[in-house]
Amino acid sequence: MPNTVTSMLPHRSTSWLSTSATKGRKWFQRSGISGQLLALIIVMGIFTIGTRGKYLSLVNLQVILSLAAIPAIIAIGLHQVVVLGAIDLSVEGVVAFCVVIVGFLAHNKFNANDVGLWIIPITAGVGGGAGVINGLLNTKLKIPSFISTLGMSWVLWGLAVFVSKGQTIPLLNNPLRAVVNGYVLGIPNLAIIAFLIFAIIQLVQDRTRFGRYLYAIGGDEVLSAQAGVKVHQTKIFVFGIAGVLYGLAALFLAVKLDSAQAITGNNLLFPAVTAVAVGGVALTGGIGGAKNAALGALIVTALNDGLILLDVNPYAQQAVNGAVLVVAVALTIDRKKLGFIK
Amino acid sequence: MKTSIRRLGEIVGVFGTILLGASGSAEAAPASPTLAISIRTLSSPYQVMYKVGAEAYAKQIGLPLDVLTTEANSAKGLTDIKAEVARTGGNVAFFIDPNDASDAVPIAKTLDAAGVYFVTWWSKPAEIKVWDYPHWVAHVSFDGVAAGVYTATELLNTLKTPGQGKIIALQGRLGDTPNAERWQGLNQVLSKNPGVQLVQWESAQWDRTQAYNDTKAMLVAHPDVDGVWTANDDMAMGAIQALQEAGLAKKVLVTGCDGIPEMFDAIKSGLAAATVFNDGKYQAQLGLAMALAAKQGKLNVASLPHKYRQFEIPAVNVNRDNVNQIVHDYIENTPTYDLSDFFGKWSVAMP
Amino acid sequence: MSAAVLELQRITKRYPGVVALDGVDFTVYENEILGLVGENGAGKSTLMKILIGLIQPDQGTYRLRGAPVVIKNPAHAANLGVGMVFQEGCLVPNLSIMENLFLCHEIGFRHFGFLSKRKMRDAAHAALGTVKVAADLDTPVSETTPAVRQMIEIARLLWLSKLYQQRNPVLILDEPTTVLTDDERNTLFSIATELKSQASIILISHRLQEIVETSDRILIMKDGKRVANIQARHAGIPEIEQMMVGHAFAADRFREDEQIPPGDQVTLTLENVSKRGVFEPLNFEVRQGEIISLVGLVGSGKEALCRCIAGLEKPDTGSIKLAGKRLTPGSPSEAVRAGIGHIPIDRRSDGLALGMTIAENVNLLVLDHLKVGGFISPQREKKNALRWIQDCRIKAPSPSTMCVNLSGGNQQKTVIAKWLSSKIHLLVLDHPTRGVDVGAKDEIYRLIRQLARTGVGMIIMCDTLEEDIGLCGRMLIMKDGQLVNEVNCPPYRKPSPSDIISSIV
Repeated sequence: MPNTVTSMLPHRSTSWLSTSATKGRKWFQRSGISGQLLALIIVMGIFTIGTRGKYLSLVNLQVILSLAAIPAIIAIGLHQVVVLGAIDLSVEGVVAFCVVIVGFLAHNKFNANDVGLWIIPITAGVGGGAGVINGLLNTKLKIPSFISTLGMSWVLWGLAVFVSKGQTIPLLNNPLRAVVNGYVLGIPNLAIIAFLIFAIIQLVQDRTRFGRYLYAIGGDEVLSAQAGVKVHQTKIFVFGIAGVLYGLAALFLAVKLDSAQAITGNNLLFPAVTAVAVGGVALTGGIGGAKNAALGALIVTALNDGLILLDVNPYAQQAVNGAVLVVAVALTIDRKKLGFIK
Repeated sequence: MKTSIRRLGEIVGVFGTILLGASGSAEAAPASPTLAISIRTLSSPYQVMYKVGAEAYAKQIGLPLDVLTTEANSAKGLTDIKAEVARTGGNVAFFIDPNDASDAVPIAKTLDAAGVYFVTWWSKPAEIKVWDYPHWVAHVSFDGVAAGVYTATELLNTLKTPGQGKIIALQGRLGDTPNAERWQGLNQVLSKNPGVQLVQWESAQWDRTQAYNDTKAMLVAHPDVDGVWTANDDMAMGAIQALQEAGLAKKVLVTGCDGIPEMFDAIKSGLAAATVFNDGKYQAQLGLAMALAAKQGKLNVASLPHKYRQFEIPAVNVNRDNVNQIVHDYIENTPTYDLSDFFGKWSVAMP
Repeated sequence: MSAAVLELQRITKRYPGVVALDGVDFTVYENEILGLVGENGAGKSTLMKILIGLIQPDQGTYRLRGAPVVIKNPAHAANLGVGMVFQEGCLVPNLSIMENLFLCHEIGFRHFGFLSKRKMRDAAHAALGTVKVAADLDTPVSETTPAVRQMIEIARLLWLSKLYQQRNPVLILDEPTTVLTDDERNTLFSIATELKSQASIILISHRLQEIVETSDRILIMKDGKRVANIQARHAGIPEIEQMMVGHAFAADRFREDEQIPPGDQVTLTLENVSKRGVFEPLNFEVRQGEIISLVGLVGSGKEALCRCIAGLEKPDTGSIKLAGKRLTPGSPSEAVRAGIGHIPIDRRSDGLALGMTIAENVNLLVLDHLKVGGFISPQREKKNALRWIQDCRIKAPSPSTMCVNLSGGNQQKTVIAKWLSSKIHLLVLDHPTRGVDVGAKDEIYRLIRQLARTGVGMIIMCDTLEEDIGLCGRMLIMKDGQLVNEVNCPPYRKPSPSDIISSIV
C-alpha cells in the first residue's frame, strides 16, 4: 500500500481508517531533530578524528557547552517567533539596551547604583517589555514583524549608545559572576541555566494551551482564529518571551565580560538565526521546537570551536562554516518536505 | 543649550544651502575664521576625545568651533560639510575623520574648490595623493606598524623567559588597514625573535565577545601559551576573561591597542602588559592647528615636501611602568600640546 | 415531523452588484439529513457562512432551538453546536490529530497546570470512536488523508457539542465526497446515517445521486433563492437537475452520440511498465481519439500509473512510447514536449498558476508560437487566448482575469484550454469534473469529445463509475496493481455499473 493511512471496507472492520506507523521509530522520526543529531554527530566525529581526540576532551566539551549557552538562550527566544511564521530582528538592539542597563544599575565603576540581584528581573522585564512592544506593533498596528522588529532594534541600539555615550562601563564585584562562571559537576552553570530555559519552554510547548496556540498560528493563522485561538494575545506573549530571554542573555553576557557596552549586542542576530535554521525550525513557521533551537545553537558552536581547534586558516573558516551549514540544512530538508511548508 | 543652538545653525545652514545655493550670501562672512571638525559620532569615547581636544584648542585661541557628525552616513557627512562652508562663507578651517575612506575624495574636491584648508585623519584611498589638492594640507595617521612593534616587544619582554615561548594572537577584521599594520608590526618583532613561536591566530572582528570565544577555544588547543597579542583593547579584554576562566590570568599577559580605560586598569592590575594610546585630543588639535596655519598663511602648503603631506606619527606607548603617569597626564587632564612644530613627531611618510 | 433545531427566516445578503441571498427561509429539523443543492453561485456557501457566523446577514432572523441568536464567529457557532466541515478543510495542518481535535478547548485536560496527555488520549479515542476512526493520534494532520481529516472535523464538532451540552448539533458537510474514494464515501454516509440519531446533518454536494440516496429532505437553491423543498423519497435526479439549472438537462449526459471509434494509429504504447510495490508489469495501447478509462480502488495503482505516463513518476521497468518513440522515464518536461498533457486532480496547486491570468495560463505551453521577431507578441497572445476562451466557453470578464477569481468549472476549462491550444497527442485527465457544477460538467464533456475528434488519445479517471462508463470507449480495470479486466464501452451499448463493480472489488 502506498499510503500509511489505509482504507478498508466498513464490514471488514469497525475501524475503517487507521494509521500504521510502528511505535519504535516513531519518536525518532517525529522528534524533528533526527537530522540535527546526525549533523552534530558527524561534525563532532570529524573534529574528533582531526584533533586526535582533543575535541572530545573534558575541557573542550566544557568550552563548547559554556559557549553554546548564550546563543542557545537567544535562539530559544527567537525560534518561537519563527514558529509563529514571523521573524524577530530586534535581538541586537534589545541586548545592547539591556547590557547598558546592567552597566548603569548593577554595581559599576561609573555611578553609585547597585541593585544587586534585582538586576535579573529588571533586565528580563526590560527585554520582555521591548518584546511586548514588538508584539503590539505586529498585531495591533499590523506592521510586518520584519519591519517592526528591525525598527525596534535600531531604536534600542540608538538609545543604548546615546545613554552610554558609547562608553564601556566596567562592572564591579557582580554577585552573579560566580554563578555565571561556575561549574556544577563539571558542567558550566550557564549551560545548566540554558538547559533549564530549554526544558521549561519545551514543556510549555508540549503541554500547555499556549503551546498549541503557538503551533496552530504557525500552521494557519486564519484557521486558528476561526477555531477560537487568541491570535494577538499569543503573538504578543511569544514576542514577550523572546524579549525576556534576550534580556537574560544580555545580563549573562555583561556579567561574563565583566563590563557593559552597547556593542556587546553586535553580531548576535546572525548566529541566532543560523542556529534556528540549522536546528530545523522551518523559517516558514509551524514546525520546530525549543529542542531544535537549542540543538542548532549547539551545532553552530561545536562547529566554530572545532574549526579553531583544527587551526583551520581563519580566512577559510568563514567559508567552511557556510559550507557545513548548508550541508546540515540539506540533511534536514527531507524531513521538512514531509511536513507542512507554507 | 549651546550645542542645540549650534545644531539649529547647522540645520538653517543646510536649508540655506538648498534655498540660496552655495553662495553663502545670506550671512556676511565673519572677520575671524571658524574652526570645524567633522567626526563620525559622539557615541564613541574615542571620537568624543576629538571634540574635547578641539574645544580646548578653540578656547585657547579664542575662535568659534563647530562639531559635525556623520553618524555612519557618508552623504550626511558631505552635506554637513558643504552647509558649513556655505554658512561661514568659506572662512573655515577643517579637521575631518571621514566616515569611509572613499569619502575623502568628494570632500577634498568640495573643500579644494571652495578654497577651504583642511586636514584629514585615518582614512583615504591609497591612490589619492594629498599633493594633488592645493588646500588639502595633510593626511595623518597613527603609526600602526610602530604600535604593533611596541606591543609585541613589550609582550615578548614579559614572557616567563623573555624572548622565549609560545604566543597566540587575535586580529581584528581582516582587511582593515589598522589591523594589517599592527599585524605587520607583530610579525616584524617575531622575525627577530626566533625563540618565540606564534602557535595560532584567529580573527575576532574587533569584538570582545568573539575574542573571548576564540581565546577559549585556542586555549584548549594550546593550554601552554605564554602570551596573547591582540590588535585592539576590546579583544584584549575578551582574551583576559577567557584566561581568567582557564586559571591563567596574570600568568599569561595580554597586549592590545587603542588605550581604553579598562585596559589601563588591566595593565595596572597585572593582567595586561601593554597598549598603545591613540590620543584623540592631540589629533584634533594638531589637525586644526595645521589647517588654521595654512589658512592664515603661516604654513606654506605648496612648498611642503610630500613626506610632510601624508605621514604617520607614533601614538603614546603604555606599559606597566608608565601607566599611572599616562592616565594622569592624558586621561585625567588635558596636556598642553606643543603645536609649534607640526612635524616634530613625524615618524614615517605614507606611501 | 420532529422539532426544528435551526430556523432562518427571510435571510438576505447583498454584495456590491449581487444579491447573494434573497429572503431565504431555511429550517433544519432534529435528526435529519438535509441535502442542499444548487449550481455554483446559487447562494449555498453564503447561506452556510451565515449559519456558522463567518458573515452576518443584512436582514432576517436566526433561531437556534427556538431562541433567537446572533452567531459571532465560527468558534461561537461550534460552541452552540453548529459546525461546518469545509471542502478545503479547516484543521491546522502542522498540528497532530489530537491537537486539532481539542484546539482551543484544552482547558478541561489540565492536570497540575499542565495538559494531561493521557486524559487527552482517552477523550480523543472516544471522540474518534464515534466516527469509527482508529488513528495514531500524534500523526500531523498534513500526513493524513482527506477522509481522515473530515472525520476528525466531524468528531471535533460532536465532541464540542457534548462539551457544551448542546442537544442535537447541526453538522454542515460541504462537498464532502469530492476528495473521497468510493469506499470512503460509502463509509461516510453510513456514519452520517448513524449520527442522525444524535445530530442533524446538512449535506452539500454536486453529486445528486448521493444527495438523493442519503438525504431525508432536499432543498434546491438557484440565484440566491430557495426554489424547492422536497422529500428525498419523491425526488428524481432529472427533476432536481432541471430545477437547479432552470432548463431541461440533455438526456444524453455524456454525449454518447459524439463518441467516435478509435483511429488506426497507435498513440501511446506501454510495454511491461511496472513500479515495485505499486503496480505489476502492464501492457496496453491507446489509439488516436480513443478514450480509455482506468478504474479501480485506491491502492489499485491507477494513480501511480497515470503519473508515470505523465512523467511525474519513474517506473521501475518497461517502456512508454508515444507514436512509437520511446520517452525518457520520469521526465515531465520531455512528456510535455512529446505531446502528453496532464490534468491533475488538484488543479488549484498543480494544474493552474492561480496568480496568473487566463490568457497567461492558456498561452503557457505555446509561447514559442506567439513570438514575433524573438519576442512574445501581445497581439498574438491576446488572439490565441481569446480563441480558446471562446472555444472552451470560459466565463470570465476578460482574458486578463486572474484564475484565482474563477469558479471551479471555469478553472478546469482553463486547464483544458491550455492543453487544447498546445498540439498534444495524449491527455491524462485525473477526475476532470471534480467539484464542478452540472452546467460546467456538460461543457467539459463537450470539450473531451472535441479533443477526441481532433485525434487526441485520452486516459481518464472519473468521479463516478457512470461517468467513466459514459465517457470512455474502453475501460481498463485495475486491482491490487494488476490489470484484471478490459471492457468495451461502445456508444448506446454501454455496460452497467454493476457489471463492472464485481471486477473492481
